[in-house]
Formats: sequence, C-alpha cells, structure tokens
Amino acid sequence: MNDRETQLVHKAQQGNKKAFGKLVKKYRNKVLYLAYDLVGNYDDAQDIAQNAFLKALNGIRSFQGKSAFSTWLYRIVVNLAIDFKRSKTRKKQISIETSITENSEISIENILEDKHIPPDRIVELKDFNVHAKKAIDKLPNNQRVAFILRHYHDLSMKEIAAVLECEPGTVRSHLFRAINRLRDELKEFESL
Amino acid sequence: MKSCPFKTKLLDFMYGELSKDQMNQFQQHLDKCPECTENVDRYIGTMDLLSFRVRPSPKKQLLTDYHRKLKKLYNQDSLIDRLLQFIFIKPPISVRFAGVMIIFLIGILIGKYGIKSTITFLDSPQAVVETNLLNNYLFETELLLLGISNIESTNDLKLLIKETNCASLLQKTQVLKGKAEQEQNIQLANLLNQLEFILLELANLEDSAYDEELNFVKDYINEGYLFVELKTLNL
Repeated sequence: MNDRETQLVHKAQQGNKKAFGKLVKKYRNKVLYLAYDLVGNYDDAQDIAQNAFLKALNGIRSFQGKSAFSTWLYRIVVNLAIDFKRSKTRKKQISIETSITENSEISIENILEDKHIPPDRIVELKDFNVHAKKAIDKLPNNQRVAFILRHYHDLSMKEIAAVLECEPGTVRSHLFRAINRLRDELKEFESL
Repeated sequence: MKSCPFKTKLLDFMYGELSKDQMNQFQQHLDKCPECTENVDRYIGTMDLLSFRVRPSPKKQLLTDYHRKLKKLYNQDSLIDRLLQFIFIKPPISVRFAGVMIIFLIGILIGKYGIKSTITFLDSPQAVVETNLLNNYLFETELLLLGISNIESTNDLKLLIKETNCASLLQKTQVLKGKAEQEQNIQLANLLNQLEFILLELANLEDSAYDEELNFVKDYINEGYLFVELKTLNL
C-alpha cells in the first residue's frame, strides 16, 4: 500500500466519503472482474462488488492496516462470492447463468473476432473457454480462489495467503492441486 | 522413493517469486534433476493452455449502471446538507453550547428592544377593538378627573356626576382591569384600580357627605398623580 493510498484509507476511516470514493474508483473494475471470475456472470458479480464496497465502507474503521487495503477488499469479495455460490442451488445457478450471460457480457466470439483470429480457431478457443470455465468452477473453493487470484489477478502467494487467511505454504498446496486438476480436466485441449 | 527437496520451490520458481540467488540455484538444479525438469515442462504447458482463457467484457450499460450505483455510496452531500447535519444532527458539544448562548442572547435583546411598552394588547382585530375601548375609557376618565379637580361647589359635583355615566365607566373599568391582569400589564392594572376606587366613591356619594367626599377624591387624584399616569397611557 503506497503512501497516497494509506492517506486515503486513513481519511476514509475518519468518515471522509470523498477519500473513500477515490479508493472505490481505483478498485471498482478489479473488484468487478474478481467477482466475475468467482461467480461466472456479470449481473451477480455486480451485486457482489456493490455489496463488497458497502461492507468496506461500513467496516473501514475496523481495518487495522496489517495487510494492504486491496488484500482486505479482495477478502471481502472472496467471502461474499463464496457465500453467494453456497446459497444458490445448482439448478438455479445454471438457469441464471444461461439467461444472464447473453444480456450482461460481450461474447467471446466478438472479442476474438476483434483480435482478427481465424474463424476455425475461434470455434476451438470458444470450446476451450466453455470447458475451462466449467473446470475452474468445479474446483474446491480454496483452490479456485487461489488459482484465480494468482493467474488472473496477479497476486503473489503471500498476498493470496493474506486474502485466504492461511499460510503461504497452504496456498502453494492449493495451487499445485488446482493446476494438476485443471491439467487433467483440459487434457483434450493440449494441442491447442 | 525420496521426493526432490526442490519440489516445494517449483511454483515459486514458475511464478518468479524466488530471490535472484534462489532462482539461479533452482536453474542449476534443473540441469541435474530430470524429475523437476519434467514437472516444470508440465506446468509450463498447463499454464500456456490456461492463458487461452478469455474473460468476456461486461456490456457498457452494465458497467455504467455499476459505476453509477457505486457513486451513490461515496457521493458527497451538498454543502447545505453538510451544514444542516453539522448544526442539527451531530453538532459537537461546543456548537451546541454556542447555540444555546446565542438563543439566550437573542431572547434578551428581543425582550429589551424588540417589545415596545404599549397599551396595545395584541394586533388582532379583537385587540384593536380593546385598544379603542381603552383609549375612549381613558379619555372619558380624564375629563371626569379634570372636572372633579376644578369643581368648587357641591352642586357642580352633583351636576358632573349626573352627566357622567359612572356605572358604565365602572363596568368598563372592570372589563379592562381583567384584561390588564391577564396581559400582566401591572402599570395599567394599578391605574385602573385607582380609577375604580374613585368611581366607586362617586357612585356611592351621600348627600350629607358631598363636601367631605369631594375633598377626599380631589386629594386622592392629586396624591396618586393620576393625570400623569393617564397622559402616559392615553396614546
């Protein structure tokens, strides 16, 4: 946490909403994408991200600065996302994901088309992405969170340990298992 | 078979989380250890594969709504809202004390300079009627007192009493006295008491005691400075 961020956090703890607003602006997209990676659709991710910032606003006085503000914020997001996933029945989840995905996100085809990737390659990559999403979703919570934070949010193992409130050695173990599982699940795409 | 001690450092090596010395050490170890080399190759393959994962972007509308909703969380209140909040909702003790003192001082100033000493009871239509009644009454009473002060003979006094409707004046006195007491106008109430006393004396005069009564009333009027008081009140 740099000096400026420390100052903003300190001001926010004293009730300065403008300072809190600056922190929100800095992290709003990162938080949304993390929530998306954890729950799989933007509508639920948006709700989780909003709740996370609301929780952060209400609880910022209790933040003691032992970890970075981002670590503390990511921990809130992770806990909300895990609670959300637990509260949804599998049946409901599937129906929500299929109905929401079309409305709230730009399809993978469109993104890949914009990168001038050949159509046959787009089909392969889309298929891979569907399988990869399912494979990541099937991982146990701690492995999934550790993998997502390391691979898609660039957190170090030490930072992930702070988010998950465990030892870095435990994170190493979660990552080992997650990668081995994903390798097995996605074996058919090795030639990609 | 004993596991390679460098196996625990494999992920740290892959993610670049080892120090420079440790990285060199691990690199040298890889040249000698086929097990770790195989693991590294496997992980590189898997990570390359996973790098094909694309995160779809949110639609612009969703992102705009999300940012707008978040803004509500931290949007600053207007200056007026903050001022009202500071004064009324959570004022510090010093502000509360200052507020009480200011209200107290304003009260004193209004009491001292804002309220005019007047015989007008109120500004309502009823009050206007009452004020007119009072002024007429004072005018009539003043005439009566002037007459009494200038009378020398008992016949003139009899004539004056006959011409003046003492009973009506007494009735007015009682009404106005009640009002003055209600309004806590002590000065007026005292004057009305004195006038009532004179009117009662005049109303109950006996033939045999006219001279004596006349002198008594004259003295009473002069001693009580009733004219001065009447002039002060009869605006």
